[in-house]
Amino acid sequence: MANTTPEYMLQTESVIKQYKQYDTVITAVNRASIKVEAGEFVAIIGTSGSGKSTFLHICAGLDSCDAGRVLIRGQDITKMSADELSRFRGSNMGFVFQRHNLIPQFTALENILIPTMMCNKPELSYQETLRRLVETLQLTERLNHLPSELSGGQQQRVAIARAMINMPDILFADEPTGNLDRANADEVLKLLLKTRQDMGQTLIMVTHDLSIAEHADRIFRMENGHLSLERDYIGGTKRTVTSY
Amino acid sequence: MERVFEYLKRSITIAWKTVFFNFLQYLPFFIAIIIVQLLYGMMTVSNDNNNRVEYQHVMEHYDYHMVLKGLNGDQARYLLEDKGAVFKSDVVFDVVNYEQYKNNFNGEERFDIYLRFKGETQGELNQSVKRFTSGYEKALAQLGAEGTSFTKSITTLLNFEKNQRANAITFVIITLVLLALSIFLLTSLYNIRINQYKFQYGIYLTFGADFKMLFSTCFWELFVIFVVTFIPTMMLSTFISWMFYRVSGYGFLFNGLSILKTFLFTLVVILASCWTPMKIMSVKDPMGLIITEDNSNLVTSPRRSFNIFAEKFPTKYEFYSIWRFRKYNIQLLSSAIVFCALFIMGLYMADIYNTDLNYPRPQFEVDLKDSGFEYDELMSKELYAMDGVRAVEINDNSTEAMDIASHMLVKSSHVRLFKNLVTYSGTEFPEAQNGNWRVSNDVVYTALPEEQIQILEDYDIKLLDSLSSLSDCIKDPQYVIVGDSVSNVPTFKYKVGDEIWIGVKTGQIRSVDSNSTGRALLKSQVSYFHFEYHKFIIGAIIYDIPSGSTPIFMNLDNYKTITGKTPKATSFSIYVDHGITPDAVNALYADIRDWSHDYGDVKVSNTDITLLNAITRDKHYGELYIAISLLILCISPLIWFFSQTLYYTKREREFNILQSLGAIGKEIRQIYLQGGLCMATMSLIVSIILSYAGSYLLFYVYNVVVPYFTKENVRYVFYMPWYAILTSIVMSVFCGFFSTYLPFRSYYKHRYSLENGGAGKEFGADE
Repeated sequence: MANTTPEYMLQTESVIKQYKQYDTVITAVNRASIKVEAGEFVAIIGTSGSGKSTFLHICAGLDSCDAGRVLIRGQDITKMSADELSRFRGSNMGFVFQRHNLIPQFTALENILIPTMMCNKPELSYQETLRRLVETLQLTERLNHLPSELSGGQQQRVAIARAMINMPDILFADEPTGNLDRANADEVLKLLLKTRQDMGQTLIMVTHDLSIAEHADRIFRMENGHLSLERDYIGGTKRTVTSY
Repeated sequence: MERVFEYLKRSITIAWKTVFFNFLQYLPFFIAIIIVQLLYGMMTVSNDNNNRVEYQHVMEHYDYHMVLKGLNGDQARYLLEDKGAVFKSDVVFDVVNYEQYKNNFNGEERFDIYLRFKGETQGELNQSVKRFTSGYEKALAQLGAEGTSFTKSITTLLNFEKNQRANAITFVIITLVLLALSIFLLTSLYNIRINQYKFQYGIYLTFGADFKMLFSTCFWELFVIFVVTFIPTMMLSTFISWMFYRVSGYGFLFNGLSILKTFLFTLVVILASCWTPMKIMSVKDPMGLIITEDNSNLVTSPRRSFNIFAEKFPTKYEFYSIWRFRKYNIQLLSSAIVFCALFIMGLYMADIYNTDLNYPRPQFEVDLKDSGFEYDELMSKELYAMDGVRAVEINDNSTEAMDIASHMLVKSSHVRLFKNLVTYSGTEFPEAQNGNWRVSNDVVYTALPEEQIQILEDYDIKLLDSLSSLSDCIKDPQYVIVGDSVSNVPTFKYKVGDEIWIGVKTGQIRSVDSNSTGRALLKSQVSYFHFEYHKFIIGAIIYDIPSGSTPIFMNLDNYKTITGKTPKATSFSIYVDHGITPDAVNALYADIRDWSHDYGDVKVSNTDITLLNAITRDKHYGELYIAISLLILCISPLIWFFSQTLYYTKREREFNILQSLGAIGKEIRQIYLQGGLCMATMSLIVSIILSYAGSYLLFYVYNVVVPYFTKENVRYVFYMPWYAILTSIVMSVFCGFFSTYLPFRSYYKHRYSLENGGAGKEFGADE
């Protein structure tokens, strides 16, 4: 059986994730399958509690699934040990959390550089990457500040820079603008897309903001754990995007 | 009333459920309150027993309050027939015993009469003594022939209640110290808890919690713990005290008041411990507390970022983190290790107590002034022939250098570091013109006859190799025997064979300012007085002799030359053998008094030191200090593990983030190990520093401050009690390491379960 399909950056096959709460079994992700090509921008939309964040975490190897497979560039991450997965994640994936998750005792600059301490890629010119990221994300003036001294938008920009510093092949973003106001959300999105464009990464983003999702190449909808294509490539729209 | 009862019932029920449903969270408070109760329970039970032991000891040895010695026949009859009493009801004393003897020197009949005063309480006794002094003594004086006098000695029995009051004051002081210590302990624990739960308190305050509510919640929780642990702890503290006292043979007393005292003490401790942290918390802005969810409140702001490019992870990672969390780490180290230092100080106290107990103090004081005799070789032979006499020390053959404007001159290289002695600035000592000589007038010159040398043999003495004995040293006029300390603190580092010079005033250029004292006076004397300098070789050094001033022992001729005085020997102290019983002391006392009758009006007084030592020994303060020290030592791991467990639990989110960024389990473990090793190293350093500082503080207080008040120089040697320090270091290093490493074990187990069931929640997902 040909498991590896190198042409896809991300491929999931019938991913199932269930939670047990007392006697009730909740299926957060129900046989979700997706294929994402390298360089593509995919948005996953859905209501709160629909399972979209859980699916994203499974795709990024931050959470395990009960059934199904997740392949990143053809490698099945569900078969990896915890340590193999960590290393793989550090080398190939970037993640932007909704709540930034910066480390409080390190400054903005140090937070951005932490992935370089863990998964050092000698082939990368970190100085150059850092300069570009800091410039693009407009963080020059705030590099020596602790997270507690930064605004929400600034923290999120630091989180994006941190996710990008190792030049990952694929970037996962879990509602990166969820905690920001409109102006800040637009700014962060613009910067995220610009950075992605500069570095040529694959971007999988969970959001419930349609105006943000509309920038994606394809939009998927998650509903009660079921994943379905909401809008295909521009020019091939199959359904009308609904508002939430 | 019903409402109060309802309030109590509701508060205690809620607190009970909170405490027991979250038992592990409250375990440190259980331990802390048990320690507090044990500390005070042991103290109060021991205090009751000490009072009783003291009373029984005194009652065993004395049935009289006063003894009048050397009365003539008229005086004795006056007392024996109680002629001073106007009415029968006016009798203020009973004669317990009397002894009649003939003074062998002048053949006169003499009497010693032992009196017991009427009265049950100290007040009644004092009244009797007062009436005796004003009435009977006056009459006795009139009945005495010219040139004769009697002496009056008061026994420990009369002073018993006075001593009890002193004991009570000591007990109050110890109670206050323990109170401060206990409040510090519980407040530290509460502050650790608050520091890690600021977010929750922020939420409580947001939704209307005020000081009263926070305080009452906190108080009732501690109250429930206190009530649950009280009876078992009280039983345990009584048992420990019983273990101390059962060996003394005086039985064991348990006073019900101890229960009440310990109950009230603990109540005050928990009230005070809740009040301050909750008061501070209640006035904080809720938002300021809520934003501390991520530990950022423990982070010290940097001025610039570290350059962490190409740094090895995680070695440097945790070093950086420890530095940024330095505020927290310093607080933890200081509060945890201060208890280790207190433990060492407690053991040091136990050692000081034992040193004090075994310190050579005279048993008898003999005054020859009225007899016309001086202490001589014959007396020496007679006294040393008595069973139990260890040494005789003449008291009036010394002269302080500053009283005769004299001083000692030594090379600056013979003075220890940081000892600020006056630099010689005079012109009369040619060798001392280069500024390398120091002068000191904190010196006492003592004439030492050969037969007195035994008194020095108890000390740690270094003798010049060419001399065979101290006797040789004192016979040769070029040698002196010196101490090395001022106020019991080592000041000089000369060696045997080194030279010292003694300046004897021969005249003056001008007088010195009569208001100047200390260093200024000595400087003026050196500049304006003429001196003749006498060189001596140090034949022996006594390293542990108690002294306010540096003692210099010399033979009689040298003493006359230096002081211009002929040494007298009209009063002396008698030291008794180590381990002598109070009964043997009484027998020796009788022998010495018999001996004294051969020399006319010789006054012999008993200092009761053997009895007082026996009482002190049976109070078991040494064991009590050790037990208290060990309890205090238990506080240290309590703070370590409580604080570090909460701290690392809050940092688990950070480690999860690191894993999401690529860190593997081994690296996370290394972060914990780095943290543990750093804390162990820091605690090693801090515990040594604090132990040293604490021990030196006690050493200084007992050697310099206490003698200032008691006027008694007892020499305590400064040393670091290695077994205590080793225990403290092992404890600190163990706690520093394992309080970090054990949270990792818990995290590591938890880590896999997270990955298999919802790590995403930890990473901040909303779903």
